Amino acid sequence: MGQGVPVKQIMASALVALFALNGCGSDKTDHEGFSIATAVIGKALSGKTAAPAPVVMSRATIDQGGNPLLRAKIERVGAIAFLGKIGEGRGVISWASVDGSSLSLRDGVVVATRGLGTDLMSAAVPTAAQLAAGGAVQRQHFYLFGGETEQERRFDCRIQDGGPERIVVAELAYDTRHRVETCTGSGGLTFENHYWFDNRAIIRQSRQWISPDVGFLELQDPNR
Amino acid sequence: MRVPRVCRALPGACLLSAALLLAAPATAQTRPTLNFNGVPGLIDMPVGLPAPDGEFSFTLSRFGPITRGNLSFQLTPRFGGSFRYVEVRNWNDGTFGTYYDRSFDLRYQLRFESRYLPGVTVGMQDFIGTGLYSGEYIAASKTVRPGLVVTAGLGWGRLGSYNPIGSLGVRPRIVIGQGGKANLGQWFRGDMAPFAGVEWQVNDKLGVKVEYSSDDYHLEDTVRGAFDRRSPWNFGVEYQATSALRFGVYSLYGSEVGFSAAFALNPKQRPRNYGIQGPAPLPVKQRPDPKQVPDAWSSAWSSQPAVAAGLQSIIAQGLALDGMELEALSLQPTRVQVRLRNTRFDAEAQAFGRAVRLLTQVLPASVEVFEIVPVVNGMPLSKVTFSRSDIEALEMAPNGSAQLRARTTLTDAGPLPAGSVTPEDAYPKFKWSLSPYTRLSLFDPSNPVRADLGLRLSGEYRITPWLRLNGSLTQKIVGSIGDTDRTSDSVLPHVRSDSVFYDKHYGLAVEYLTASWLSRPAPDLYGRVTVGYLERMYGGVSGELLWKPVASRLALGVEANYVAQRDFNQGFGFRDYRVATGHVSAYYDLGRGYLAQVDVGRYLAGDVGATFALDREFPNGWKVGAFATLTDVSAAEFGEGSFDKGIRITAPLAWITGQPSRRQFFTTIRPLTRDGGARLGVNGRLYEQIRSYHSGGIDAQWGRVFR
Repeated sequence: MGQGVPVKQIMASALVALFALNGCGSDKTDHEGFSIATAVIGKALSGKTAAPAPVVMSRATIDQGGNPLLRAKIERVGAIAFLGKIGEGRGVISWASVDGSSLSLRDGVVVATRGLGTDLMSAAVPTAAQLAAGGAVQRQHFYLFGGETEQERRFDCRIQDGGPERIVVAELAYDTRHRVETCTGSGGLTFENHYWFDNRAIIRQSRQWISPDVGFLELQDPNR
Repeated sequence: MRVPRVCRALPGACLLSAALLLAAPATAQTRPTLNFNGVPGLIDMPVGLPAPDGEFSFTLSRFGPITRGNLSFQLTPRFGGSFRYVEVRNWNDGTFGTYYDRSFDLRYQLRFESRYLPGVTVGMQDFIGTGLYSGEYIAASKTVRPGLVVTAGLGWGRLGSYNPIGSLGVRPRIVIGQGGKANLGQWFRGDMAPFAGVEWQVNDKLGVKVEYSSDDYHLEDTVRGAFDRRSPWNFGVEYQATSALRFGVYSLYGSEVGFSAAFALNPKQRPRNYGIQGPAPLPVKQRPDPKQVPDAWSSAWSSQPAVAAGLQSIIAQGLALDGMELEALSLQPTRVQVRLRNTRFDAEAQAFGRAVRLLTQVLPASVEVFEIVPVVNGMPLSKVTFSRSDIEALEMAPNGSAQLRARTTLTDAGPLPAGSVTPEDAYPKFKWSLSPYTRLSLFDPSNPVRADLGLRLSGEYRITPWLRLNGSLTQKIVGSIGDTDRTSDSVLPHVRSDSVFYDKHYGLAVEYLTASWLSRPAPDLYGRVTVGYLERMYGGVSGELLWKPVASRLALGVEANYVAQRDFNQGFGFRDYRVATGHVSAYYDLGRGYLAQVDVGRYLAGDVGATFALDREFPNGWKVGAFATLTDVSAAEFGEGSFDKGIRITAPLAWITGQPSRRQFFTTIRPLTRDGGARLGVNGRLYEQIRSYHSGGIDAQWGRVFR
């Protein structure tokens, strides 16, 4: 650069730095690289994904709303959200959070997630009836790892009784039967899911494993 | 260091026998670490194990006066390659104070490590360059217990220069000359010497290495006096900071302290924990049972124009939420065709999936067939036909995406259906953007990294679906690319080697300014005509015709250009040089992500020849490849390097951040840019625009359809 940097150039560089943060124009694709990169770097600099303040919803609020809700907690991150019902069909109910994640459950058992990271793309899972009955079942989970086609992971699972248990979900107490599903997959991958069935045979509360990266979800059904 | 006598004479044999004695069978195929040459290895010596398939690494190492930057790629499970840029200070020969050298390696895994037998690699170092680093080796490595790897090998050339134990004929002398020729006559000839070493990975973070080097550093030590080689023994401690980053500190050759940093990533995996980010899709809406709600299945709606207009508006808005633009819509009682532009999703299947989910939400139940036609720059590229019943049935099915693909057809886009509606605001349309740009010049013969930073104002005016104007102005703000006094000594027309004069221009520059017309003259055929300032150095006319059936692995193309060299100030003027250049190209998808390309034709300097390229493309969009161009220009006329060759890398932004984006970073690394075998750089060549929307590109990413 030779001798000394002219003031003009310093100003210009500052301008570039400013644009680098966002760019401008009607064609967003041209500068999205910079916006996304700054967002990601910002996230990295601000440390780990901070656990957000726990979301509390009182019984009264839930009853007033009238719409079915699902309470979900990502155990690893500690994030809690109330999800609203966005679709239903063929025995599967889909729920979405305001930040754009969704969960799909068949009789209370997770069959798909979206927007959590390494999502459960699709799955063959035990039915609620099988979980209530106990015994041996098989699971098939499908993921998009590095490739862009669904990869299968198989698990052999045993369902055992965890005995009766009284739990509280959104200020209401339920007498439940605790069921434990212990699964072992290829490569030594193991996990233990828990389900609490109320006296109407509804899974009132559960702890379900999603993927190696996402870990466990804790779910509660707060609807009357 | 005290070493048993037998080991002093034959360290390789000594270590290997020790290894066999210790050999508690261990099968764990450990991921080898990288050496100072960026090759799976010890410190300065290689090992007999390959890097994991697809691994891409960048290493920087330094000891004494020698600094090396290495780029390595494991092309297949057995084949690995490296590109190296070396700087040697204290060269003391009058012309070079500091000597720079570029070289390529190739290695092949003869056998993988098994329970009782070692892995064996045969490698050729600097097999095509100036030959300064030339050396060949066979190395065997055995994991004797988890974390402990013992290596012994035999080297020729540089790697056979210390304490040789024998000789295979006479190795011809290195002729630096223009370089760039395969040093065929030298391979595995002349003196051979053993090397050996042990690597012990103490725990997840800490590793220790000891090696006995067979490189005498005769040139650097004795001839140039650049450093003092006192001992064959090297020692090192390495620290794995993250899964991608590893640092090391070493003692080398009894006289120097060394450092290394290695960065490795594998495009086959995603960066940790990211997964595929971005908001969840809309759920698929199931239609009611026709027996219970027969009215919902009526197609009476199709006779009311207001319904169609309302649906068009809703579909356009819904697509916009997912970064897609509606190009045209044809709505019939049982069939819909949506033509759309995908500006967001790197995986085309994901865009299709989002579109059909939207259609299930808004369209009357009678519409059973969904046709999605992706459009790029006005060209409809393919037609994906879904049956709505399949989408409803498979959205939540185990491995539903694969089942859906089996029931989905992919065909040529075909003509626009009669009665299609185009949104009023689609044409004409103007888009602009002002954003920073950077330009990198890597591995120049006299400076490894130079860069420019500036602002770029670009715009696009879409006049009709087929016709558009594109322009880009740049203003350099700071930069060092023009800071060189090297001028071209080329005896050919200076078609590329005058780039420094373009780089020295500091004012406003017209990067490109073109009018382009695209067409689909017939099924499976694509056409392009571009007129204007095509690239930084050339302006003129460029025409291209490509034949590519949707499901074909083969594509054939013809390109013809007549161009004039632009003024160095990159304004509107031209220099005197004019040339007709063009190629006939064949593209073939070899499967498993390997793509081959051959271009035969006339290059910018008027030379005639062919370019051969092989790329490996990963489903997530990473692409690494190499190319070489041979023309009727002789090695002497071409100058340093003998012929044009290089490496090209494409990295998708979506992989780096996890967020959906179609943006990619692309770079070509050439050891040298000269005038032989140089091609015109026109924007929007057809094959790359089209391929990702044909079966090869779509199927590799089909799992994203329900994301």
